[in-house]
Amino acid sequence: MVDWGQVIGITVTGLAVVFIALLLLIVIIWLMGKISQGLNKKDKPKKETLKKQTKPTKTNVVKSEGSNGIDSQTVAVIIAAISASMGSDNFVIKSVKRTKSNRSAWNQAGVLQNTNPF
Amino acid sequence: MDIFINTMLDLAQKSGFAQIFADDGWKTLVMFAISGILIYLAIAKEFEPLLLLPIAFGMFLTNLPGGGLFHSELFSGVNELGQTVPIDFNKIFQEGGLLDFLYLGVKLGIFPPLIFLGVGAMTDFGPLISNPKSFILGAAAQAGIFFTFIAAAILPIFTLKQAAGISIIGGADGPTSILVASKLAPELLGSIAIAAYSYMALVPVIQPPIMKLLTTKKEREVVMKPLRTVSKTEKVIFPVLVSLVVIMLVPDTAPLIGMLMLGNLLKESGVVERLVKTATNDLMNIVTIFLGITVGATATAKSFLTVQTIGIIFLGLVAFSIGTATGILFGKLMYIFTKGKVNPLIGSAGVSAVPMAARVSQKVGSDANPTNFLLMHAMGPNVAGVIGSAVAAGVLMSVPLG
Repeated sequence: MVDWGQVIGITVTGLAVVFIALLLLIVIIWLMGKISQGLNKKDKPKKETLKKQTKPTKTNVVKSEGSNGIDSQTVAVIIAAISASMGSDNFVIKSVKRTKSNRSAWNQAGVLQNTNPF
Repeated sequence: MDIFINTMLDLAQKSGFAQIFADDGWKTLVMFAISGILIYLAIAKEFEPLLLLPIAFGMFLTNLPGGGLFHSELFSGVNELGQTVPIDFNKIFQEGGLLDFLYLGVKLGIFPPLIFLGVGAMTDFGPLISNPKSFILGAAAQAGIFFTFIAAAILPIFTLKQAAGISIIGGADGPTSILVASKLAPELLGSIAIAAYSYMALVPVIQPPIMKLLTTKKEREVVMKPLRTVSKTEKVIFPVLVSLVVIMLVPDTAPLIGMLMLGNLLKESGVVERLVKTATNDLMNIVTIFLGITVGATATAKSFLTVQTIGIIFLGLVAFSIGTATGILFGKLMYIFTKGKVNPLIGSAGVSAVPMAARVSQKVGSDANPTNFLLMHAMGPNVAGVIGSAVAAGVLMSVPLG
């Protein structure tokens, strides 16, 4: 009545293929992750290594470009915001300048959204 | 005067009411009742309403006598003499009703992959990329499919093909279930789809008892290390890599995996915002409506009020329960192997009802340890399960089940 051979055969095959496929994916995706992280680390020695987020970077900015009339606390906040949105502190701030637009930030965002080219 | 009476009598005989009082007419009333219950569940209890509501109404429409919207005999592949014949598409075009035409999208395997396109465009594979070991949990939960296959094959009321079509309910994935069922067991499609979506809605009820039974409190309290951030490059390469690996390995997964990954690539590329918007909104909605109503339409009284439907309802529960259990058990294995770094509760999220199963893991985890935030960790196995169930579907569609 029930062809046990066929039923067990399909079950074992199915489970095996699913596991093999996903194990293969584990290896490949893990490799991709390692390569990607390796590439990111290679760029690090080129730039100045940032161990802490706030003080060293702030010092870089103030020393090299002058503060452009922007208070250092604001700069620290900007650095923290960039670090949070990028998810890492792999960057060097070259300069912080106040934008010249007379529009408020919200207005500007609205303009950009509505004029975005197709 | 005579003409008037005769015309009225004629209309009365042709009306649906007359047909209800014919021999099997009571079955029609039962189907009305069932579709009414499903409509109630969809609206009042919010059981997966996006699909269950069109399915329920499709069921209602198809059972209205003389409606002519759907003719299951056009798609059965069996002629009046009981011989197996290829589907006569010309006949469908000439004699079909509205739902016959829309059903072609299901029969030809168009709608489910299009839904997967939208799903891929809505899915964030980040948690999975940052912790690829989650793939194992996505694979483990698919054991629910195969053990259900054995259970269904044992029952004398199902052929092997039908057993395969039913077992895919364990994948906890609507489009996958519908695609496999439409190819392997189209006569059971209505029951399978309704069972699949109903159980997906019941995941928060079915899973927790099993999860608590198979884990200790200590295991449930495990707090996992935060996930690393995933770069955009990785997120863009991922869909291409997965498509390549999986489709080369199991070519029959191409429609589902291909569309899933295309949707994801569109999203992660960041340069085709309009396409992503359409795929995740309008396209999904259109296809969902057509898919739901036509799948519901296959649930005629003749095909639904059978012993097999009862079997399917029972087997659906088996599928979800076993999938949850095997996912948790593998989660425990990982807990042991990583010396307590993995919380076994995320294993049940391999049952790919996204994001419901992940939310359940989060809730059971926070019941044990209120500060624990397992959701993102559970999303890894959850989305891995979508890929896993698509692979399982591909296997079931490619092995000989004659």
